[in-house]
Amino acid sequence: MQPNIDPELLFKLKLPAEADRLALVRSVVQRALENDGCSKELAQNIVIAVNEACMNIITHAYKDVGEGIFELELSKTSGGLRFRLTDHAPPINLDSVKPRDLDDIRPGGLGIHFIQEIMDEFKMGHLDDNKGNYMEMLINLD
Amino acid sequence: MKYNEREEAGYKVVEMSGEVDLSCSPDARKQILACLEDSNIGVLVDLSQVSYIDSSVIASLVEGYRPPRKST
Repeated sequence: MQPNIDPELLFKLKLPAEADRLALVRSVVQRALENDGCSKELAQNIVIAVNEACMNIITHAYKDVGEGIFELELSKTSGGLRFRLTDHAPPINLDSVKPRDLDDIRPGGLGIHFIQEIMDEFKMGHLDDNKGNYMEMLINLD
Repeated sequence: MKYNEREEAGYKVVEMSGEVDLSCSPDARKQILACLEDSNIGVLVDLSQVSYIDSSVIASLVEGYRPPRKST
């Protein structure tokens, strides 16, 4: 019996939430985007946003847990691409995730700014029964 | 990440190269702050050979940034 695979799914990764896995994520995303017709430059920008979203899982969602896994899916949509990240960490405080004023020069808080600048849309939420968190990022390519 | 230090033209030059991300930003942060601590000359961080940098490393650079004091 053939597995039921979403034809719009370009890839799905399941990885330990560890900093030394980020290079692999960047490499896979860059290659998948270029294979799908994105320019190298656009793919590089998208990679920045995806890397920052993965970092948020490692440094914030799993901060008090220490270790865990996360999944990253890239799918085609009618006019672009959708990235969905899920973790299985305790529910994060969604109100704390927001871009900040860049005139306030201090360390930290830039990741969401990059995501907002590069992606057309992003949203975050809790998984059912508070069994983790998700982030979806959409980019239009039309 | 590759890391090197040297002195040139009155500066301590900290050279980084390759991909500089969360996996090495704690080390990069320590090295930059140690340089600032130990050095009584200016510190210049050379990122010209860096192929990728993420916000965790930018945060370390911002942390090491010391605005010049205004003379009174």
